[in-house]
Amino acid sequence: MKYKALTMIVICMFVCVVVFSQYGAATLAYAQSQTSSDSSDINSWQVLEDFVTNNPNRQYNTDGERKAGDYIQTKFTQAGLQVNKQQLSTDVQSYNIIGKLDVANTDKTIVIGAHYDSVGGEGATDNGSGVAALLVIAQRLVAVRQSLSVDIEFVAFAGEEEGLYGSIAYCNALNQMQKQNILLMVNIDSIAAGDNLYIYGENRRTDFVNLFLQSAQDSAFTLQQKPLYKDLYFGVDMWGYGYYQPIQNSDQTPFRLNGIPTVFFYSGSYSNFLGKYTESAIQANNVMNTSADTLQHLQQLGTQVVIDKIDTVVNSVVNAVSASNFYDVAVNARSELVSNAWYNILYPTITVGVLLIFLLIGTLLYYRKLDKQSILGESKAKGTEHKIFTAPDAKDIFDMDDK
Amino acid sequence: MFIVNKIRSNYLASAIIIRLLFVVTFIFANWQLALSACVMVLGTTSVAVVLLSLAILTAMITVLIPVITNVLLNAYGIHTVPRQEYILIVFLSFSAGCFVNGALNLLIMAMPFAGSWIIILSRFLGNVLSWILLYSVTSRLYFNDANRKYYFKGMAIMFFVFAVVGAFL
Repeated sequence: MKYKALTMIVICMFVCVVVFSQYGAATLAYAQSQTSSDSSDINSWQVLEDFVTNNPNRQYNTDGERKAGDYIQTKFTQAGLQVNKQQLSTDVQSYNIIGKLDVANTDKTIVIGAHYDSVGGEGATDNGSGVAALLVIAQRLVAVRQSLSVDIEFVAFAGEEEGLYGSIAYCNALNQMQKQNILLMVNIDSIAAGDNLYIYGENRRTDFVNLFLQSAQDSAFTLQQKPLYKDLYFGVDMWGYGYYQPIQNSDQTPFRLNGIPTVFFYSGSYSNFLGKYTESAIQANNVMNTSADTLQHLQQLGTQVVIDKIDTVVNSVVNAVSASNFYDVAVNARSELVSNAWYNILYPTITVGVLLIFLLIGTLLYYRKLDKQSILGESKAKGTEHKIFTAPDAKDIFDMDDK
Repeated sequence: MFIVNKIRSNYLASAIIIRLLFVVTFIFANWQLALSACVMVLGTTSVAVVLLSLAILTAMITVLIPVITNVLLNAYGIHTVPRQEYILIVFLSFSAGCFVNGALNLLIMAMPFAGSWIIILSRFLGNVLSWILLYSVTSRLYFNDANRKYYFKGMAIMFFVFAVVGAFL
């Protein structure tokens, strides 16, 4: 009886061990799946709030900016990136924070950037929101690194507000080969407080802009392409677009000037009378670069709206970069830039050249006609009379009836 | 010829009116360029800066046109034309070209996707019109069948120099 009871106890213990071990494994698997799905469920408001609260003052070349840089460096490291700091120049203590994600057997890279310095207020939207998106994107892309086809550099730029110092320093440090290997630059700036969420790539829809737009289709907030024909200035061309566009003044600009295709996420409105860019159609909500750019202002706009905007940008970037056709689209982005320059600058110039050639031919024919008139005409100009009798040949005389 | 008769009837008033006309048409043709430059440099639009920059540019060109005209006439050995009247016709011709240039530039409002095409072609067409007008008026006024071809030759060379410089540089 004792043995029977003992056997039952052993069997029960065995069953318990088996059941609990299975349950434990299931629990562990569930926990792991939760961890990986958590990376897509990161609360972007908390990320934003944590960053801004810990770093409310981030003016260029100040302790506040350096502290914010250290904060981002820590977050990049925690996300699993290889991090290094790039000093902007020897005479300032201001740093770009670069986190690298090496994923595949490729030397092709894309840069995803957002500036972390600020002027005025807490810089909650400009550009705490961009930094929050950058940190969330980094975590999510690390989680799906197996599906990536290019290396990714996450760059938190310093000194943007003072004159794009961080992105200029970054581009200046690149050699020609590195510039060739950067397929695309994605910049995220001030995405939380503007009325609408825009993406800007070129002066017309391109494959890579379409890919980013499609990747955000199921998101909570609508991502739209910048209205192509608003806030443009003609006559001066800096990027081969055929016009100048002031919205270009953010960290993607130095990359574009180096021939690297760019995608720019920002929020704002073009609804005013002149169609010029403003952050909001409501004057009181234009807080960028003012003391009113605070978390409190974003809370007044609605925390959920802010989350939706940041998550829309995050979804767009993560889904696009991890898409199976991303590599091909990114490689093709350069040729789209070149064809854009051809269309806007070279084709009209060639057209003028062709017109000049026709004009030259017409000029020569007209000169020939004048030449004959000068010989056969009724000129009374002193000293030219003798030409009438010396120069004409038979052909000129017989051609006269045709005139 | 009506305008030339008017110039001859009251030269001083004509000189002032024609120069003013040139200033207005030049601004009409180039305001978008000045606005673009202003936005690029200042990062914002300032009507005062745009007007000031255009005023300075126009003043410089208004001074330069008579100087260049005199240099070219001397270079080609054309000493028989009344210089002051000729310079006013130059201003008039280029005013017409600037007007056409500015009017064509307005097409950008309707067709912004063709902005660079419109800018480049309108400048070219405005130039061609200016030179054709200048030649057709002055060749009838001051030259005869015998020496017109030499005048045309000089004008054609200068046109192609300015056109090539304007189009490709």
